[in-house]
Amino acid sequence: MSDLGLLSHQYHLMAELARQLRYDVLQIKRRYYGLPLPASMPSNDFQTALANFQRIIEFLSDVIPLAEDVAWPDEWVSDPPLPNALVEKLRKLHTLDKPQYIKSLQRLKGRLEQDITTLKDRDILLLEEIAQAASADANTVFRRLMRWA
Amino acid sequence: MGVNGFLAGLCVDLYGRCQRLLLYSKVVSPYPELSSFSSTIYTKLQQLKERIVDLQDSDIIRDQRFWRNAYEEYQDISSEVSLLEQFAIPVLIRYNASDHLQNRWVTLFAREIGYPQELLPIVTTTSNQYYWAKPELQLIAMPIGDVGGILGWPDLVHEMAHILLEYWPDFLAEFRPHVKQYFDKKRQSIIDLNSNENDNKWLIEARLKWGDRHEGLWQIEMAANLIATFVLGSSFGWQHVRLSINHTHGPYAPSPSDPIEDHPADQAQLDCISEMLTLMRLQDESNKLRSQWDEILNRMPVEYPQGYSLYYPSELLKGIAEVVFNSCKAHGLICFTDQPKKRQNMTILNLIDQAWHQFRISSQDYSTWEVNALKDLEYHLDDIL
Repeated sequence: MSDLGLLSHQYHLMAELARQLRYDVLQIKRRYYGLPLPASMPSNDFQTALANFQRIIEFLSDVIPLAEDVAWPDEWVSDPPLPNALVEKLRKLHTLDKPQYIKSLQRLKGRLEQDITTLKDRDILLLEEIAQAASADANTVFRRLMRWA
Repeated sequence: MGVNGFLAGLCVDLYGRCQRLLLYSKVVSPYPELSSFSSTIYTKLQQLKERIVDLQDSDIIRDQRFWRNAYEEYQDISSEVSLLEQFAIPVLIRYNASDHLQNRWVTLFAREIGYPQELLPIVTTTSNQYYWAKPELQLIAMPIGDVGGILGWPDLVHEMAHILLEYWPDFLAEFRPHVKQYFDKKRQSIIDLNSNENDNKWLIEARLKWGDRHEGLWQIEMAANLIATFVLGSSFGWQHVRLSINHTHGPYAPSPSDPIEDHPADQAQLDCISEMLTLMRLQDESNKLRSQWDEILNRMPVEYPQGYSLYYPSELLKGIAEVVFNSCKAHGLICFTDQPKKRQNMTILNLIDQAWHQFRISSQDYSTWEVNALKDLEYHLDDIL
């Protein structure tokens, strides 16, 4: 397969991931802001969205503190919920406030696991940042695929 | 106009774009093989239109707190429309006799090797990026120069394999434990030997590339090569040598310390192909291929890079060849060596095999042989399809 074929394959995977994260964030935001679910969204999707993000936040809490060349814990190496490039993107984004970011992730992890009603605006922003980073990555591959970049 | 209003306006614009593209997917073609592809594109455009309507009707497009979510949904739909516009619609508009000829031989070839009819691709001869596939559309593009050039056709078979890998997601399932086991063992030995930081970093990169998750593209690329070798025999290996000479930037790239790439190194690909030929009991062919390759390498100013075997361990190269060999059989593909001895009815398989044989015994006379062989093929296809 030429570069174009593999880029296309990669875009396909990344766009799917970005779509899933966007959908999950939307579920949580709707609940947070008290917006009713549209008929097209099954109510049990909220539980799935919550579980997905619980796993992602737990993963980030474990791997963000590690140095770049240190191997991830076994369970994340074989089945990471986010691609390595996305973790690196988030890590870079928080180079200057890394200790604070790690603390925020840990607090968010606790709230997602225990009591969703205690979520704060800042937590929603953290979730959105992850989904937006995935969309941005998919968009970068899309631009390479279209040879716009 | 506020930003929400602007986004709503863009939805109207994008809807209109879908409508215009839909007209192309409804054009009736004189070529019957195009109808299934047209209807796939039609359905995809209809689904995108529905997503636009859903977004327009949604409360999030009118709510400031959800603007970013609506914006990203719009951008995603717009990208999907652009991809169809860029890669699929031109196939429909430009489809001609050259494309038709390629699709006829691909149809015949699929029958010969046990390739599922429902996964038959549509082939377009308009590529300016060598061969590529968009498996989700069952679309393969090839360069126009290869329409009259048989030697490159094994790469089309490699693209057909990518479609199989998309639709047979468990095809490589048996390989996953090999990857885990190998990298766990290697990681432990790096810890035990207290190796340097580079080894650890390279091992992490290699694991990602060999993995089956987001960044793991090497096993897919290797598997497509191996499937093509399984059905074609050594002609795929010879085409790999040809491609490496035509397109390569070095037999060992990417190696540790090179920028990481989506394709594994040409040397590793050849090693893998060679493993498959051995499994197929074509040891003699494998030896000839290796000997030609080594002779070429000996005349190139390249050195075996440090850490190369961390990226391409022979354990994984052998492991993936064995898994693909067994999976091909389990999925009903017919091995080159299991074809009837004389293969009189194996028109395309014989043609590709003979082309490479002819090229290797007399490259100077090859062009004349090829012109005649392609004329015969056209007559034959007229008779049977």
